[in-house]
Amino acid sequence: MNTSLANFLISVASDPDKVAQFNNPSERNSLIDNSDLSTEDKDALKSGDVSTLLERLSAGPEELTWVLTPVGTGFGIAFGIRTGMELTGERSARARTASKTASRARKSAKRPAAKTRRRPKAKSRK
Amino acid sequence: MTAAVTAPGLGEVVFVGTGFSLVTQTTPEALGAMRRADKLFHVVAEPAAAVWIKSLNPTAESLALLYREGKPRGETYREMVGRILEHVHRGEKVCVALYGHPTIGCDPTQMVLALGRDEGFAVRILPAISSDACLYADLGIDPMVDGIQAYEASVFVQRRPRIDTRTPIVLWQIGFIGESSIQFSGRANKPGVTALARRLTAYYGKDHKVAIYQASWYPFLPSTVIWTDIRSLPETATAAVATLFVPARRRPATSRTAGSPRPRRAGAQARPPGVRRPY
Repeated sequence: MNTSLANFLISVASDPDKVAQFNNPSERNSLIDNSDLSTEDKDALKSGDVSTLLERLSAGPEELTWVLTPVGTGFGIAFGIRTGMELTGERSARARTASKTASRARKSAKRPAAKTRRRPKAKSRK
Repeated sequence: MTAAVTAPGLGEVVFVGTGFSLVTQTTPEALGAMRRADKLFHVVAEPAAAVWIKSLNPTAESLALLYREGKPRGETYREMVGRILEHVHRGEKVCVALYGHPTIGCDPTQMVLALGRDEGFAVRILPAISSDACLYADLGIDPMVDGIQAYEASVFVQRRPRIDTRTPIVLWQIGFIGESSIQFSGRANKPGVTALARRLTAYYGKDHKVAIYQASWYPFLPSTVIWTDIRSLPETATAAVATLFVPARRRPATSRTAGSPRPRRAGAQARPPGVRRPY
């Protein structure tokens, strides 16, 4: 971890005046030039390129995991994404079977409800 | 949100979000929770944020170190929850700081919330700035004008929900479609993006313009917005954590902007785009 660059970024982000200065190109360069950062760090900041900045901040590729890790959703697992075939929209035999089973279950669940909606038979007159 | 009142002997958990932009998108309330915690865990989006969090509370520990290439994310999340519970069972006040919003796309939050209800410890969740909030600001979108549809991209591809092309769509994590682990390369899973493009083509055609969006990590750098057509999406969407914004295909029939514009009354002011008509 490049702590000097990280601390510089934190000091800027924590100070609304410095953030405003940074958003003004001419003031930004003087703020960067007056810092104790290395030339490489200063160049990375001046480039305005996020990838360059993240590379300077990270000591190695393992630290770049910071920006790549979703905190959420194991949906890939939850919804059974297992093969590239399923992803392309072509459903696997397993998915088709599961779908048929679910469809049958839905139909059978609907039956009693349909009966209740049926009109009562008219009483036969004797 | 708060779930349950802590049972005797148990600690409590508060989930906070740090937004995206370094320091500036963390609310004072979240800041207080991070400072006061007996144990602070975090998963943040860029390295300087971790240094900043450590300066707030010396107990700070990154849960991001539990990620491994090839390891299912579900397993990583369960380990994260295990680390959190160790401290809750010791009766400590635990704070978990996550980038973005703590309930948007965050499995550990939901898992701890459910466990809190079962075991009887309090779980609090503080609101934060999410990626879609940043997207609305950066693209100048008012979701109240045409409405909004939002899906996690894998869910969108797998569940195939019926969509309304008159309403814009926000799709989170387009680079992780069909990806149950993580890639340290940070590259999007191309077969997943291709499947997404195919699904969108069926509704919008190949020429419809979409925006690949990534909120800025720093208050002094702009967010990344790449406009492309659906045809070029698999080649253009290269970042794993990007969000996709799909504008409406056409305005709703009820909108005054549909078809030829109505003649404006003399002296009437034009409304800026995205601003609602007053009732």
